[in-house]
Amino acid sequence: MLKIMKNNRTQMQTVLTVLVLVALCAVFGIANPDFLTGQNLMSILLTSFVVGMVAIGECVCIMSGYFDLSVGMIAALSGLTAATVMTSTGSALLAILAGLAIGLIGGILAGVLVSYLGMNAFITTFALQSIYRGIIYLRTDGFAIKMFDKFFDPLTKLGQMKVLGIQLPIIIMAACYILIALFLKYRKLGRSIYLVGGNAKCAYICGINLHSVQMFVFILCDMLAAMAGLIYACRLGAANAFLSDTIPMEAICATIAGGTALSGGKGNLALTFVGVMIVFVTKSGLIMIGLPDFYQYIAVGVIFFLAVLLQTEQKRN
Amino acid sequence: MAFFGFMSPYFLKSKNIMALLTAAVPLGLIAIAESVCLLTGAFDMSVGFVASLSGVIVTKLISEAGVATTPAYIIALVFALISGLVAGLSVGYLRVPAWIATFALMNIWHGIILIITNGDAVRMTKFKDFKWLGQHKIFGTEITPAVIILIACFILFYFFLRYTKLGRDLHVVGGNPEAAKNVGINVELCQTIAFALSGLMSGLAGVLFASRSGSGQPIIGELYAMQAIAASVVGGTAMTGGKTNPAMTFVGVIFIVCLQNGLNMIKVPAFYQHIVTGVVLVLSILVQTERKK
Repeated sequence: MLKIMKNNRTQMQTVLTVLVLVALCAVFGIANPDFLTGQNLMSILLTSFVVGMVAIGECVCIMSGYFDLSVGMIAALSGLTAATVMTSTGSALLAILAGLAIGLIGGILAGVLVSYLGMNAFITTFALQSIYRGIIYLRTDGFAIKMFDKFFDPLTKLGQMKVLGIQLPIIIMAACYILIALFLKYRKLGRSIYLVGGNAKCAYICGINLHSVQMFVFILCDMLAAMAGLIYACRLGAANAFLSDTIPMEAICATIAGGTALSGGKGNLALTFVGVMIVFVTKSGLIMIGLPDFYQYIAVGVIFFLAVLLQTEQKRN
Repeated sequence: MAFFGFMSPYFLKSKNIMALLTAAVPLGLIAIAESVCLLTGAFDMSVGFVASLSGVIVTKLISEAGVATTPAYIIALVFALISGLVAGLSVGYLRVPAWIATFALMNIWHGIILIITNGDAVRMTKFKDFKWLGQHKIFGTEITPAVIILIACFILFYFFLRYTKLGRDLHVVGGNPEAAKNVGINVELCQTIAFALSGLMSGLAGVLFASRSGSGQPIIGELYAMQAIAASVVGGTAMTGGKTNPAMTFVGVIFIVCLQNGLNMIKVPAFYQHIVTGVVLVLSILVQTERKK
């Protein structure tokens, strides 16, 4: 009986989250008829790319009981590194590898500090974020590195490529969601992430190597962020130093709105995606009804707050 | 300090030391705010933006709404107190995790700051009264009223946390909330008060900063939360709650400000401050984590 009720609650939550999204679409659609056009919906998908990718990592990270606030800066740093390496070596392949390497290094660093040295994940990644930010400013003086030159064509062509009329970033994002959702469901390592987040002690007794799972989570999280930053820079034709201030916030907000438990052990990538859409439909909608973009900060803050509040309420019941 | 004194002969001049204290005013007040929250076992991420918004409110009220100086200060502080109360009520009574409640608030204040100011600084060159607190030199020395307020606040909090019932209750709430409940302490109320105090102190920091710089700056807030946490932790405040000492926090604040000022004096670009503060924070947490082990 209890199990059925529990199942019902999860279903209720799924339905509720999707309903919120549909309602938001409807409201903005009525306010501005251009909102619900295919073109605008595609553009929402495209703008959500970086946060959408980061939210996958953040979802996995939160499921395992941690946070990673450094993802935004990792994304920016990865794009910048790729642009720099491209300029000095001229090889697109090297540039891409260098960008991804930033994610790997960042993930290993965060993983070692948090898992092996036992530091508080939230504040450690917050500090790392500041360190990366300093490095970014030093490298760029706060300006973007432009990649408009013909010289950068291999990278920018890749970023702007379309497959079957759909932009490459959207396809990559969809592939990442599907692959990682399958991985979480069907692989041993994937399932042990849930266990580590839900009850670390129990996971340890079951013979799961906590350190390696935690390391994996941080590396995955930062690699996804690096990939997102890299592809975004390629699409834009510029590696932007200021890309990243709100990324971790929006990604965590989307993840929580998608019902991932803050306390770890529970999460669902499909709903995380719905969460991402809730955030970006709101952001786009606010612009389409003519409000300046400052209101987006407030909107994201309010969504975040409500999502957490709902979750805390649920736990108490 | 000795290192920077060696690197730049100007560093240890009394004028620079006073400049250090003046520069320490906003960070010092925010560090008090942060350490009270850390004492109850919570982070307050909104401190920097509460400070920014208070500064913007006080300057806008005076320059555009024509409010007199004192009421404008009071209104800004009341706002800061309310912001703290909102955070405190969410954490204490609605049980929202502290960093999220304050992170969300931070975003909301950030948006409101941008809406009010359009991202521009509010200029206050004409208003002499307003700048008295931050710029008036008492008896021709370099000491400003703001510095005195800072020192008074540290002394006040030192005694408040140590010798009043509420202050000691805050220690217990942070150290062991379960035990606190059992001995009849109103945990929810204590948490709310801690955040309200934190908001108020951040607001004070913001208006004093505005008064010193003679402008309402929309973006002073970004580094403050981290610097304040770093200062508190360097000063021995436990990240897990239950332990802090305002005197040591003050030392932590001076340390961070020295680091900044010293780096400026030996001509290291300002960007390095992000890196240095981050490294200091990581190291100080590491030391604390090691000790616990």
